[in-house]
Amino acid sequence: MRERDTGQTAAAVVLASGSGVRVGGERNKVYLPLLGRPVLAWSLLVFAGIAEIGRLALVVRPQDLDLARQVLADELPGQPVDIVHGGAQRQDSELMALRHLAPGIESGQIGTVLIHDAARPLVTPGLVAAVLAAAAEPGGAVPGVPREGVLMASPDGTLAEADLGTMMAMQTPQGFPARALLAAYERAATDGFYGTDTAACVARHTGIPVRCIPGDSRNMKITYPHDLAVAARLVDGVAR
Amino acid sequence: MNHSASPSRRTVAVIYAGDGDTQAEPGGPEPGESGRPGEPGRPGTPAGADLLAPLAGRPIVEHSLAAFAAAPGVDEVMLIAGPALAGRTYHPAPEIARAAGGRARSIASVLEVLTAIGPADECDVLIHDADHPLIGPRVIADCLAALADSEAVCAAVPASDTMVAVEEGVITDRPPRDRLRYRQYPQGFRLPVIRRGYQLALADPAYRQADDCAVVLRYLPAVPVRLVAGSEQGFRITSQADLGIAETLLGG
Repeated sequence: MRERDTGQTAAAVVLASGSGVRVGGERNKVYLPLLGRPVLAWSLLVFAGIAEIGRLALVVRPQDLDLARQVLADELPGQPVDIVHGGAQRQDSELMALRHLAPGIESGQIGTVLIHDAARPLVTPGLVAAVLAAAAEPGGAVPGVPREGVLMASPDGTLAEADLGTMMAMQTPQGFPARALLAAYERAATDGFYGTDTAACVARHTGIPVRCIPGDSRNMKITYPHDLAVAARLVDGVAR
Repeated sequence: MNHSASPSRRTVAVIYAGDGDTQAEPGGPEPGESGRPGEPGRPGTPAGADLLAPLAGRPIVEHSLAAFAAAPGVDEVMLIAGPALAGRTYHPAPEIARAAGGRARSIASVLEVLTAIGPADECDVLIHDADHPLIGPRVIADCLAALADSEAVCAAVPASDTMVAVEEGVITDRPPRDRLRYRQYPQGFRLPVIRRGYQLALADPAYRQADDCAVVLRYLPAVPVRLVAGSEQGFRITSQADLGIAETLLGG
């Protein structure tokens, strides 16, 4: 309700600009079919169905442009989705998306930005709502799931720490107050800082701790070819 | 098989298969401490009954038994099991060590098995957890090869996610992702090394359950533990969902 009361909306940025080389081949993994629907269409449809999200942006590699247009025409007909060209690295792509949204962010129309990895097709409306609610706070919020059995290697390839205890594996969507996010990315671009993820960049440039909220173990990332079969199985399990 | 006359080293695969009893094992974390209520502190084994659940037509535990029995260079396969699992017949049949007092993971039981393996000088052990059933020949071979010039090895894969430490709901630390790994099995040792590690652990009242490489790292810090590339399939089964994933990967 907060968003509506102030006339603000949220924007969702879906990143489909990764190379996806681990899944193999030249084809970007997010265009591969999951139960007959391209991977990236799954999360776009979730975001499109959430009332609080008023802007939807898809970040693509220039060589995927025709493919992306076709997916939008087939899977989200009539749904306005801005297509933004991505950069060399994830952070460059995020920056380009934020610059694309900058007029709306600076005018105050866009209050919150969600950044989502298109390779996570099984995101649920419930998780998006939880991130949106938590993202309104300073610092923003990211979903995470607990992970045991994490160890640290030494640079020489031997074991340095045998057990880091319960770590949180970060997921997307990650949500942040829009103005702070845009400012953090512009500053990072000036400084030449590259973080491993959105939250790293925000934390570094705002000094405000990022909150971690419970993620969803089914919100898996498509990394390897067999992940598509695994995801299909998870969808079946949810449907049953 | 008697390899005493052979110049090559003898290798024994020791496979842990838990028992319901492990959940009450002393030295483990309090319920919830590890993130999953009732999970034993030593990373590894769910209730014994779970390891008999079918995966691609055979009990989960048999996948590990078969993988090590078929691996070139592995001379003997031992299963450490509590009462629920020890009295059963497996294909292929391992030598079964019944864990003392039904506590398959008690450190004394492990040491007992390591001691019973026999003369230590020319023996390597590969320690595996049966709830990592999709162990493939490549990882076993690589661990064995690494043991030729390392005293301790551990299978691991690069962390595929950004990992953070969280305290009171906020992110407090983000270790360098390029150095993070997910622990897998097997973990391999020269027999004298792991025996010594467990002897020191047993004598330490402050010992808390840990995986075997952690024991070596803590009690024998001068012994480097070499990391060996694991497999994306080498994950641990902890839930029905994991079992479903394993089924999928096996083509089920």
